[in-house]
Amino acid sequence: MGKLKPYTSAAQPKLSIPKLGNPANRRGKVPKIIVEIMPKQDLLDPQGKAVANALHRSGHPEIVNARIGKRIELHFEREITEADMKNAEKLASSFLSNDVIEDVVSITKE
Amino acid sequence: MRIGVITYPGTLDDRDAQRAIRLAGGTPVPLWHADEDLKKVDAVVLPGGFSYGDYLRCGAIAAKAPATKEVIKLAAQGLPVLGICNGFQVLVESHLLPGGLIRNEHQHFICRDQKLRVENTDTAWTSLFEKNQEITIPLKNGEGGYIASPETLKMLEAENRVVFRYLDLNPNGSMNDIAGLTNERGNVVGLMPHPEHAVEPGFGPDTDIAMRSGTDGLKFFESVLKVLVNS
Repeated sequence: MGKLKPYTSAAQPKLSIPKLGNPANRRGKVPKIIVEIMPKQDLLDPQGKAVANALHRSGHPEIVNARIGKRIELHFEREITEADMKNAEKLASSFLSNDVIEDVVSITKE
Repeated sequence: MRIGVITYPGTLDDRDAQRAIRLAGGTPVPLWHADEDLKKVDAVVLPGGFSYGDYLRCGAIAAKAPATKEVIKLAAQGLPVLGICNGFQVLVESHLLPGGLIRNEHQHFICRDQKLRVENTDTAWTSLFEKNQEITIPLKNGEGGYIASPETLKMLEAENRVVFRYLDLNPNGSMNDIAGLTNERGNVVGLMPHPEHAVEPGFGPDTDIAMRSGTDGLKFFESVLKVLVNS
């Protein structure tokens, strides 16, 4: 067996870093589309289960279950249009969630 | 024969996959996730690890990488593609294979030598196995529970697309004990266990003959090389 060649990635990352706009805008109030995603009801949600167990231990037996999902904010530097909402719907079902394991529960404008 | 191994940010087992290809007699070609150019390789391995820190969902962001887009295109033309562990997750997120992978039942990260049954030997990556051959290769993952809709499972079973099934014990709650799958054409194979960690005596799983002497994983890479030479 020959000696292993040292690892070289011929073309090192030429990733273009997406422009995220003015940092001040990012923190402040900007138009947003908010996508909320939850694991499917009949699937095990280990995070939610662990949180529910901890709540029981700390004296909250009235809380019978907890589930943890995701809130994804899509920020804009201009007003959000109908087309943006349509596009967000498409992204929510194709990329932001996986319909085998998750449900998109809401897409809202803020 | 040149077999590409794609490295994403957070990939761990790219070097092991390259070594496995070399030990099997092929030439490993390191590929970078941001390159669309797959350097005219004859096959591609998507290795294990935690691409993009498993952000969003395991494999979801890697599925959108320029190199992966090229893999999706060429896989449709018959390019042999093997997805191992995180690579399997990338294949599922790329819709090259159906279903999804979720956190292991009992929520533990599992690392063990795992017995599997090879149920489909018509794929590019399993042609040198015997049908129903039992093999042992390492398994190490936190999100390896395979799930799919009842219709998808039925279709996979009917079309003999379950390539590997867990034997003795189902480590992660995978439906139908599924450890690995193939596509309709048999050129794309994905599995959770790691064949590239069982390719060299002294470093593989224990066998009845000697400690760490298991090299069942080598046949994956020898299979594809044979398929490529004959094509």
